[in-house]
Amino acid sequence: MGEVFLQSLITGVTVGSAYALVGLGFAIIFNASDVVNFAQGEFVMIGAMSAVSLLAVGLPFVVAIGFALLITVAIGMMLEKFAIEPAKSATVVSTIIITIGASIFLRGAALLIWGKNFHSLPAFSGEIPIHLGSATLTPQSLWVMGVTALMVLLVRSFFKRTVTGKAILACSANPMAASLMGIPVRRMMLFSYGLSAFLGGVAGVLIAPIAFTSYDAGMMLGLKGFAAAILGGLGNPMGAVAGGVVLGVLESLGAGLISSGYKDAIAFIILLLVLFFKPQGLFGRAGSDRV
Amino acid sequence: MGDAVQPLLALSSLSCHYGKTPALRGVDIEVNEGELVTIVGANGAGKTTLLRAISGVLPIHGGSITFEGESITKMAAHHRCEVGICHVPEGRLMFADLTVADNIYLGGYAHRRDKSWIKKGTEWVYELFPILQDKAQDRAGTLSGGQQQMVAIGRALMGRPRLLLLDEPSMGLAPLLVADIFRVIRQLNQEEGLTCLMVEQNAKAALKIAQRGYVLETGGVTLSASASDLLANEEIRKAYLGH
Repeated sequence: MGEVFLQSLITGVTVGSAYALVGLGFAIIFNASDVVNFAQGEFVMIGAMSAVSLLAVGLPFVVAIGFALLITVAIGMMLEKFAIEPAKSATVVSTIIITIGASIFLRGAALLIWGKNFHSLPAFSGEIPIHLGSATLTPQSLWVMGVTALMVLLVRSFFKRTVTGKAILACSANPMAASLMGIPVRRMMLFSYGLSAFLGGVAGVLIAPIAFTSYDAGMMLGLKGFAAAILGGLGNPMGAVAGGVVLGVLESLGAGLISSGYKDAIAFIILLLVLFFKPQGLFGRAGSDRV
Repeated sequence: MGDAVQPLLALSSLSCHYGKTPALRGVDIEVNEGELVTIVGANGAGKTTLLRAISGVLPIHGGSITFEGESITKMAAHHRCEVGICHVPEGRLMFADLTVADNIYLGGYAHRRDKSWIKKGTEWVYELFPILQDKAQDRAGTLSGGQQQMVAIGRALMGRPRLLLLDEPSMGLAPLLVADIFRVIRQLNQEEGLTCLMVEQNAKAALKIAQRGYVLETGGVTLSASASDLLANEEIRKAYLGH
């Protein structure tokens, strides 16, 4: 029992880290524009699949990953430029539907480019597991947790310390006032999509050595990331991160202690419970005061 | 006012509409360097529309806007801030979840690379409104209406205005605070030489500190005169000054 618990915890935090990165991406775009970007999961898939392809054509590992992330960021920005911006007078709900359409489009394009086969990346630094009592920890798990922690810290200080980060928050608080202050609102939106895509791409590259990736891998990851963001309270970036880790752990405990068949169901049962009983999320903040 | 003096801001037959409803129909307004000009008019006369058109957040449908002799009619809103048109919006429009200090800091977004200005500007704002320094780390949304108005003015001053647009700075404030805000606006205009264009419901208070005024009715200028003439004008007194 104890060893199942420890092993589930390790697996849970690893998978949860990926959910956390996806959830963080959701939170950033939601914060900037009140829009839930349902193409967020596709960023994860594009990051992983591009890395696989670039590695296959013979690029060195680090270069392949760098370019894969660049491609993901470019696609994120193109999504904003060509699908979101032209519909700038659309309501939030219409914009969300546009992102659903974009996710289907990206999945279809991925199917044409990469086919239906499953792909995988090699682990970043070997496969020799580290033993923690009776449980094992793969080096890749450490990569996932470490890089996620780094990303979270960077994003956090980006919004707290940099003028661009604060300007993005200002655009979400009040686009007209931001514009009057000389903040280019559209460019900030473009930047938010780029940043979210980057985080998605990072998640994709990190977990591709652990979980197989395919053209439709983004769908489930996107939904899990969405559940993480809801769990943490939409629009609360650090809440989304905590939500991701909590979700990963619960899912993996449920799989370990009950049955692995319930793994995905657990995430969505949690999502439903949160939406029923605490729609503002576990760490959601109260709405902002407007005097 | 000789003809040789080029106005800082000139609007020429400016028109603007919301859908099919005209909001401004051929407005001509000039603001000279160093002046405080006020626009008097009833609700819905188009005062806010006028200021938003000047700062570029509302598209215009005819006419032209000239600033320092150059046309800015087609300039994007965020560039107008860079040339020195800074706007204190109606309703204050705080970045409610950000701190007071960040609100003020972001007002200087156009000059964010000019560290010495950011420092100097911030000191200037805190000097004008000492209370904001005590509240610097509070979220702007938690401040009282009067303090938020101070943040809104401070934020606009950080943009290093050549022309300050003020939209209903006294709206919703207690009389004591109104006097405070008007004192600061007067000080900015008379002591610091800042050119201001102010829209105000409280026409009497506005005309007392302004040099000139325009009367705006259903989207058009119906009268333009010195502030003292407008204060003395019988019809204006009846319509806008409450007696």
